[in-house]
Amino acid sequence: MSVTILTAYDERPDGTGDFVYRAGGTDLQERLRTTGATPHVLDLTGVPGFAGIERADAGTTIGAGTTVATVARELAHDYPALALTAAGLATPQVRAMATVGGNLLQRTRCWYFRHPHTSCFKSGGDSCPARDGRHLYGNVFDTAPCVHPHPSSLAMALLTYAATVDTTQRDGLSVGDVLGDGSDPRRDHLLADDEVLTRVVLPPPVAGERAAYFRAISRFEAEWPLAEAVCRVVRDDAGRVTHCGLAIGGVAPTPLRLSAVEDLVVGSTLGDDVVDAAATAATQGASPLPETGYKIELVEGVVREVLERVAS
Amino acid sequence: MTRINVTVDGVRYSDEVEPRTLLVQYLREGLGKTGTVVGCDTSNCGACTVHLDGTSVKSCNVLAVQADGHEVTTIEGLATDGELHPVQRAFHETHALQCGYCTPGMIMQACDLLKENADPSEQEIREGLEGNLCRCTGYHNIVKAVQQAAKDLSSQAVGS
Repeated sequence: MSVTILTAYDERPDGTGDFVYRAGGTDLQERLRTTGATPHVLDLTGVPGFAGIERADAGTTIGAGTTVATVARELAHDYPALALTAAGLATPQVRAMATVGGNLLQRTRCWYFRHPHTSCFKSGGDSCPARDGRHLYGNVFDTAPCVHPHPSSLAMALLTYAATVDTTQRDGLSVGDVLGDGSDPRRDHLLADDEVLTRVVLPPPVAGERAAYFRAISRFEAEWPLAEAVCRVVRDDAGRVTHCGLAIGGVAPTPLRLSAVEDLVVGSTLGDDVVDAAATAATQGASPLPETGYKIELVEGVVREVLERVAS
Repeated sequence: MTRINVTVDGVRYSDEVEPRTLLVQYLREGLGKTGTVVGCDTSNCGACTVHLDGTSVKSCNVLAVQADGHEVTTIEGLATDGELHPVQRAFHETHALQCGYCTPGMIMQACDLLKENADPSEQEIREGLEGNLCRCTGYHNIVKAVQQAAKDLSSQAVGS
């Protein structure tokens, strides 16, 4: 493996050939070790402006190289849904190095993709071996040829803020523009090979925002979510919800913002009946695979949990 | 090759390294600091945890060039004048190890945890150590060690 430490986004040396960008490296390091791949690595961490948070009246800009730990710590007051999600993913040492950009653009966790001796759509093959094989951690909204969910928890939280993304080639992309809808099973994101995600732009913070994040996992700590949800609400003096952002992850080709569920919540005081209805509505359209039916109950559970937390 | 200037366990080093060199490789093979061990080499197990400017990181996941201009503390730099660090002493006294392979990383992460939270609950200790795996599953005594270290550090602070 060879590494070039970049000092500018467009500094790629001639003759690089097969290359991959590196930010925090927390996912890349594992994939290179387990697959034995030896691309030329272009390290972005030295590029000026790659990391850092800037606040302005028009909103807040997060450099793509900003670590997840920094987001969790510095945005806890202004963007609690994003900060809680950041604090809830991975482990302390990974959060200290992993970046916002890397989290959005990380590759699928599917064991077939990551196994050195199997191939799938995403590793140059022409099928999804998980579909007819083992897909216990797969989608419950089976809407794409690849059955594994997108792993980015931060993307889920950014959906609730309608955040936009800038790259070296384009500005103002939505999270959906970046991740696509999964219809191209070869891709985990739709950026070009030589396109670098440079920053995320959040709208101005909303006073009085309450938020909650919750993931269902099968062990005590430190695991990728079987299902996860994040919710942010603003309530008026009477306790009625005037704004709601709610999204789920770990269950579909990309994180899903649940607009229909948000509509149920807005205008309510988040009573038990509304929480019940919202949790049920969150599973509408679910189409589980043979091994993922259990996730329907988890989706209900994580949505119920975040709504109860913001209501309390 | 790239020149890096880095302080490791209080000593300043200036070395030429390949950009691909991982921090853990530099520490072990470049500086002979083999107290920091390699476990999974995929940023999962936490055995190679060191402090980079006081924050715990997995050194198998950091390039040596990223440490240029920064300060690294390894398990070998915790003791002072031959006296074990309170966290090291607590691990020893509470038998918080079985095979001991995860211990350097556990101790470094425990130090970081106690820096952020001087009086953690059992739950907070388990959450703080979530990035460190013990294949012997000796977590019970590891939690006890961190609790004892918290008390010792607190007494030390009161006494100072």
